[in-house]
Amino acid sequence: MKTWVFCLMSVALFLGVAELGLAREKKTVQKSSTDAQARGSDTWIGADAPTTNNGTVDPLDIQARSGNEHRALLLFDLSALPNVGVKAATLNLKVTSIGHNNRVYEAHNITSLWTELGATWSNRLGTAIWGAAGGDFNATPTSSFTISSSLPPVPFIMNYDITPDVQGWFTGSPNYGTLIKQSSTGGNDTIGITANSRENSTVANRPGLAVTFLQQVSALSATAGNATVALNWTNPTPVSGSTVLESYAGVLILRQKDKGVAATSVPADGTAYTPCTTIGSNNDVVVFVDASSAASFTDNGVCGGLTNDHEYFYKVFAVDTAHNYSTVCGTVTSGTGACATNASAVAPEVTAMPSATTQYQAVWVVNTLAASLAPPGLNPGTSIVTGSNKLVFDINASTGVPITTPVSVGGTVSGRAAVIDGADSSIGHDVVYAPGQDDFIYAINSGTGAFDWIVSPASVPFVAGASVQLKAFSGVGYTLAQDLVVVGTHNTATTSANQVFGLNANTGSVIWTHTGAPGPNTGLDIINSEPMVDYANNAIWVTSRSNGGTAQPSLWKLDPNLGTVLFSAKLGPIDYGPTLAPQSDVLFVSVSGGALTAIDPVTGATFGSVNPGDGGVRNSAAVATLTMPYTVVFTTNTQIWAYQFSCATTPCLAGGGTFTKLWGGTAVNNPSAPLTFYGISKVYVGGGDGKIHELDVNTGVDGKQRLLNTSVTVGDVGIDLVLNNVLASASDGRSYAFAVPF
Amino acid sequence: MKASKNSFSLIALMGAVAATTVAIGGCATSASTPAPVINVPPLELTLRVCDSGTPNCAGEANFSLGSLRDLQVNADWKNMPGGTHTQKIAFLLPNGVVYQTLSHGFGIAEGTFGAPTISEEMPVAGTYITQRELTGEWIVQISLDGAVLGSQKVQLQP
Repeated sequence: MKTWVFCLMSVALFLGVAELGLAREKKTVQKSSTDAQARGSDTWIGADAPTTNNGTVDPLDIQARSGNEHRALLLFDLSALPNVGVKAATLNLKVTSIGHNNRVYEAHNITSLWTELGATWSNRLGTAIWGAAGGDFNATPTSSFTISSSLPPVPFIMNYDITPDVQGWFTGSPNYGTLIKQSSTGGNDTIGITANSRENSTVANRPGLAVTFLQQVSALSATAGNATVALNWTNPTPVSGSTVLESYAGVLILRQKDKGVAATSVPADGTAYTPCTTIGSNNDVVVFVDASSAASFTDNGVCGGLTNDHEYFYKVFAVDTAHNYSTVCGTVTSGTGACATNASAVAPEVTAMPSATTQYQAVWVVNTLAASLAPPGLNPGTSIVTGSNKLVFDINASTGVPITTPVSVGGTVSGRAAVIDGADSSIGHDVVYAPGQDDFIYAINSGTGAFDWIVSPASVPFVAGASVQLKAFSGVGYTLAQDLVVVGTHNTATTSANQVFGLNANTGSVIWTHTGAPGPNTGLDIINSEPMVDYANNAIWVTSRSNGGTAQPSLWKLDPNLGTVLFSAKLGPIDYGPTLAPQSDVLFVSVSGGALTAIDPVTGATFGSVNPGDGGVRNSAAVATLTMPYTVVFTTNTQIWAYQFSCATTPCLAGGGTFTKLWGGTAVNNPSAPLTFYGISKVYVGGGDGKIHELDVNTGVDGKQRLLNTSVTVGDVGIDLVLNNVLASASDGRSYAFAVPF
Repeated sequence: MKASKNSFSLIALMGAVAATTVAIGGCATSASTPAPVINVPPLELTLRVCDSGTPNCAGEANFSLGSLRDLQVNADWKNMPGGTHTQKIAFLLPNGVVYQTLSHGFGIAEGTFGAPTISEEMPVAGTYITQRELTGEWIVQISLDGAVLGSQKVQLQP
């Protein structure tokens, strides 16, 4: 227990906002025919009508009448600026009526997710209430606007400098928008102001957010050689609709050896650097400074040389003619509005390993601003989707450049996001399904980043990803009219009454619920892995814990149409998803710290099991062959194993399966789930040593590795077979792609 | 159980441009620019970190991943000024990288000082924290209304 005592002293209030003109481009995001603001929202909420939504109302109404206070909520869609270093941001409202002088109107950073058509004084979305009625926000206003003793003639523009908030939205904090309220210091005000909303028929009247920024370079790549690393990139061209304030001049490149360039290593705006100077406490080295729009640089060992067989990180900043860098730093030199925390995290980076014999490089590296070890969701060849704390990133699979600004959700997304191509989905467009730890499940239109739906079927968190049974791929036994999203709860308040929900993938409505109940055959403990869709047997497989033993089930087979339990098995606690053999005739289940168990997916009978020791099985298994006998690869605490599974009869009978060791255990510290399947001859495993290991599937030889970052844990890996990249996130808050085979 | 008590001033400065600074609350200070000051009692915070299954949580600093279900953080505030506030808990990995944040808005009646206890839980059992043994010295960092107020180290053991 730790106790602190604080003295609160606040706060500086400001009369207006001056133009901040030191950076290069400026663009106002505002709903229009060319800027749909698909994720944008505004509304006003009133204490006198606490359940009334005004999401389609124009104008916004703001007043501080006692007991009847009105506040405005505004959220801007920044997806037109996905790869920028923000320098300044000014929110503007067009005020159309005003009642009293000597009033202060404050802008506050909102701290909970809300929706335009769901927000009221009481609720933020659906039936979810605000933590505090009237909106959740930081008490300290980000900016204020004072109406002085003389009333200005209407209409007039009310400007708010919300640079610190916008900087935060680009460096890891979720963007829930801005709340405008009248300060309570003005006392009772029965009139307040009105301001045009985004529903106003005239574009120029609508709220806007003017953002001043530098874009990042794109298509950054590295090619390692013998004591050399060649970098290539594409310099930015102005964003459509932006005002160019200053010209891009070139780049500044920082380098670090054996670890990443620190997110706190920030070249100072207005400062010209010379090569070989260092920046930040991490002593990141300036290895290249250019003012001629160069698009390549070959590091032959400048500033101390390159040592073969060591990893080098490079971070590239765009710079303009006034020496402003593409960092998240404002124009003030200190305090709020200066540099955001981790102000250089957003700058593109890449890694390379020079060597005389085994040089390699990452295809791309993305800083996701928080750590995640879940495997990425894949739309092969197109996009990589990864949840990171409360942000969902959609990344170009070829370049690693975020396709749009990350989508802010209400809670941590800790499982794999389910990515469905529009050609296959019943909702009719590319869509991402992501359960959150805030008790909500999110369906996101991956074309726009807007929510298709948000639902909370129960007030308990979801830590695992969702699975989706696609109508298009299902047989006649699947009778639902649309795709089905299946999620399981992680409710540690009970060891027997967790739930599995089947949701309409188009609307989020609950189609069925399976709820556990106390009892030796019905208790359902926490669910920690995403369910698995078994198309051949028209079933949903769910694994769970089992109250610490084998007295209650941990493997569940559910009917996708009704959610009824087709059978269950008491195998002991399971934290990992099951793996179905390619012929759908064997289900391999990893019992946590126990045995790899082969199950008949039709009857539930146990064919056989194996436990090679080393603390027992962990992580889901992978199957490398198309037909029986199956080569099954799995992990234990520190080793990788491959066993051949075969049956004495066809079909296989209970107890008739045999595991025969092929190889193992190949040592990998703290291994992730192995990745392999029929058609590739390798096994890929993330390690606790910062590496992705490539093993030969026939021999288990750990022949080659790719170092992501030293002293990090590499998460579960994925593979993009269109681009031939293996992908993983790591505990350093980055996602990496490497070409395969190594 | 280890308890500590620290005291310091939090001065929040906002914005960047021409301004009139007005202190509207806080401890009496000796600021160089005279300003009207209203004395308020000092804000106090006690942080208790527990396994979610622990009754009458008093606060612990060491946890075993083998038995830990959720990591529950209880923030006991005293003398919280009236108005709307947001508490944020950030869980930082031993390498300092953010793993997860939890935010909670709450309100205190205007003109009063409240003593709310805000509890948050980070799932642990069965998550990647246990699956990949993310052990070591984590940091639980607490912020109020966007300002970091303190942190506490928590040891997660195999």
